[in-house]
Amino acid sequence: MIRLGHIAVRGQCTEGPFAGTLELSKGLQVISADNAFGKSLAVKSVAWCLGVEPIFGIFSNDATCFPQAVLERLQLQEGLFSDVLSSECEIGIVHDDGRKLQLTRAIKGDTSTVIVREEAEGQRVRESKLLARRETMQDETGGLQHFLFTWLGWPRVKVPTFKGTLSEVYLENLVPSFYIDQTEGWTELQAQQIGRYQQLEIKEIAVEYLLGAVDAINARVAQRQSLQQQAAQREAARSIAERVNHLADWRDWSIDWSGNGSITDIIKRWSAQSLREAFKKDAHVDLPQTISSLSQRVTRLRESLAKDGVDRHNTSAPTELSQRAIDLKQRRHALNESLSTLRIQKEQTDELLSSLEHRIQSASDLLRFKNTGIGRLDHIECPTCHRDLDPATFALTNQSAQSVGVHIESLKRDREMMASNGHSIDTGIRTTRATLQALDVELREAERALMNVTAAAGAEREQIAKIVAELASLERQIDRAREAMAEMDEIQADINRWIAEAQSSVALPTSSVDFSQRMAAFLDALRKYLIELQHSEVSASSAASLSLDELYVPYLDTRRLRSLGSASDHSRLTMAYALGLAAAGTRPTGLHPGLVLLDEPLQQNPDPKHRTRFMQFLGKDLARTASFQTIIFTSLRTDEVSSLRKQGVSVQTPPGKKWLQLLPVPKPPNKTPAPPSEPQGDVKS
Amino acid sequence: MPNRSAIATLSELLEESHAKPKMRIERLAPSAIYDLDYRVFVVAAAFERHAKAAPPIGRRIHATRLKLLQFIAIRPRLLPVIKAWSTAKPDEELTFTTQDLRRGFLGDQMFDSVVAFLVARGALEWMDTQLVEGKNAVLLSAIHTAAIDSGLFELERQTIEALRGIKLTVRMLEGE
Repeated sequence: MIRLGHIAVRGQCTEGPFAGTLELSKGLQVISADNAFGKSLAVKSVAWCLGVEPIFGIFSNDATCFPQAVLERLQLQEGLFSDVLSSECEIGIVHDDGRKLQLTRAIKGDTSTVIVREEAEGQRVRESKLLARRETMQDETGGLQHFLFTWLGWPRVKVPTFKGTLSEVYLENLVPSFYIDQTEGWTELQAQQIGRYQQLEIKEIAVEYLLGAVDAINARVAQRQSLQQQAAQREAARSIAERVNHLADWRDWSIDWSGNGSITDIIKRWSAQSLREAFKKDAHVDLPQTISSLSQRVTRLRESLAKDGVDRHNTSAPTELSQRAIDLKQRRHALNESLSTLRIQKEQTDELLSSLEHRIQSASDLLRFKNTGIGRLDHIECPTCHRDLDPATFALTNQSAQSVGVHIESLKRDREMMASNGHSIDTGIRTTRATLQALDVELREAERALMNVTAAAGAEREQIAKIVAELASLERQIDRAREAMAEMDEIQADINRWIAEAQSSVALPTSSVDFSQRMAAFLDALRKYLIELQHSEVSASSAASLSLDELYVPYLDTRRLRSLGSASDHSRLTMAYALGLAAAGTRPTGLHPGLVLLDEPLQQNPDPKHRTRFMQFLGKDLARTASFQTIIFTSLRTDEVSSLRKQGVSVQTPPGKKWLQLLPVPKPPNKTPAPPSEPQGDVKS
Repeated sequence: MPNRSAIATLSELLEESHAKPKMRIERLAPSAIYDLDYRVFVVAAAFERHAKAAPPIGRRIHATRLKLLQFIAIRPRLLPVIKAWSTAKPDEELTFTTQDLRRGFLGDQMFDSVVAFLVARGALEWMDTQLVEGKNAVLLSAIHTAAIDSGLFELERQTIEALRGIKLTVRMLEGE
């Protein structure tokens, strides 16, 4: 566990050097000063020295989060300004084990580096210049965050991103849970969490990390990776199913082989039967059997040709072949007509679909138009008689938003139906074209056979030509069957590979039991803080109904706590969440740094009741005796300061109107000693 | 609901034939085409983009031209048809019947009602066969601007813009 030892800002302006320092001790302490004193400057300095400025929504090394006082013009007193020449800030960090760290970073000057001074057992161990932002975690020798994680003994954790890649958990992902900035920090839980790094579920991961549940994060990451893998596997399954259906359509076979559904369902379906079995069952296609029977026919024909010879008096060969060619041509004609009809249907379906899309779009726009009331003629009045004009008088209807909504749903159903029709037509077109192609091959063979038979002289030769043509046709059929079987086996191999991979990804890792204990401790602490902060909806009796959902968002019964209570309860919830997390995360198994910084909790609501409750909370044991450091920057009245001090709360009221003060400049060494009454420095006000 | 009576008649006929009609209310929601707000927007957009300045009476547009413009804006798929019709020679054979198209848009009674409503509202005024800006014409531009700012009815607006490049001839509007 660590605590802040001091916060300092110093620099040089045209009037001379200036500085401001706050010494901080353990436990709860309140820094009370008037507005514009420089409290926010001190708060920002902490984030700046830690190199987590992206939480303010600014670019790396961009010091614009600071007030003008340290960037451009320092206000010395009312109406008197001095140009800032250079400035820097510094924080001191004290570890429970006695080690100390001093982080110094320029505000005006080279903002890309941080000077790190390490101390152990009262001795300065090392001074390094580290990169504040660029490669801050990855650079093992020069990265500030890499150094800080090592110094704090924090494990490095990788989390998935929306892009499917992995990203580190950075300090700026953790800081919003214990650093509540005045301007943005109170608006939501972890309001300043970084979104642009595209880390998935980063808010939940930050909570888990601070509670020390690294196992839970790893399980979460593994689950997410598994889900991403499953998405890729579903895509692969759809692609395989498409190949199977293409194989079937192209040969005019019908098969039920879908790649839809959950991974488990697909594994179950595809493992239940092989592709060959499915074709045999659904399309009655048994290729080995077909090849075998075709081969037998070839053998028989050859044998009959060699042994039995031909009937010299049989003259039916040309007629049979001619009839076959005619039949095939008629079939082809019918199929062409059917294909032409299907194409027209497809064209019309596409047109209808496009029209439906347009109507859905128009109706959706109309619904928005009605719901938002954009440009509607709300008050319709006759310009002459000034009576309300009823649209019904003009046979017009102003439909309700509900009616338009129903219409949209109805259009969407129609679109679904038309899309399904389109899909069926597509399948029809594909199978018809496949049949036509097969028929064309058959027709070409029949015509070739007829030509050979016609060219042959005599019945005997005609019959031989017919048998030879039959043999050639059978052999081509065998070749096609073998091709189909090879394709089928190739897909089957892919299916087997897919099943093996999918089975390994389905077993999802789960988080440990230890994690539930950590979460229970957090929830318990959250309840206590909400009660002590007097959240209007959470009392000792109702606290049992408080729970955290899977995103670690507090719920009271079935309602999100944030949506309950008064406006000032929002800041109470934010405060209780940060303090509860610190209480649970600073247990021996946690990774919480042991520091909570709250900037202006009273400015979130000027309600006197809110103020009273807050003051009461500060005086309570839960706030005063917390093992972690709580630093509150606020503005208290004199009586409030006295009251808190009486209760044993450490309240600092830094002197002066401004935190940053001009420093006395030591006079250059003078050979003649200065008179003893003369001051040592030149203080300008 | 414009189709209610037809549906009721159909139900009666089915009952007479001992059929058991089953009404699915969710399927009976009228189309957005019959909504006043929608039609007012389309007329406003067509007027705003196609009406011509004619001082001192303000902008004006031929009522039949406006009728055809809004008819096509609601049905963007007719845009190529109207383009072909516009450029066709008098004796040229077309893939569609121009008479059907004219009958279609001239029979759009809802447009007549919307115009009557807008005239009563003071947004438009009749001047012979022309529709001119009324004293509350700002309503039309307000509706049009609001829809643009909110990114609504983009397809309708695109169609209305595309119609600016198509010449709507007297033959198209008034027949042969």
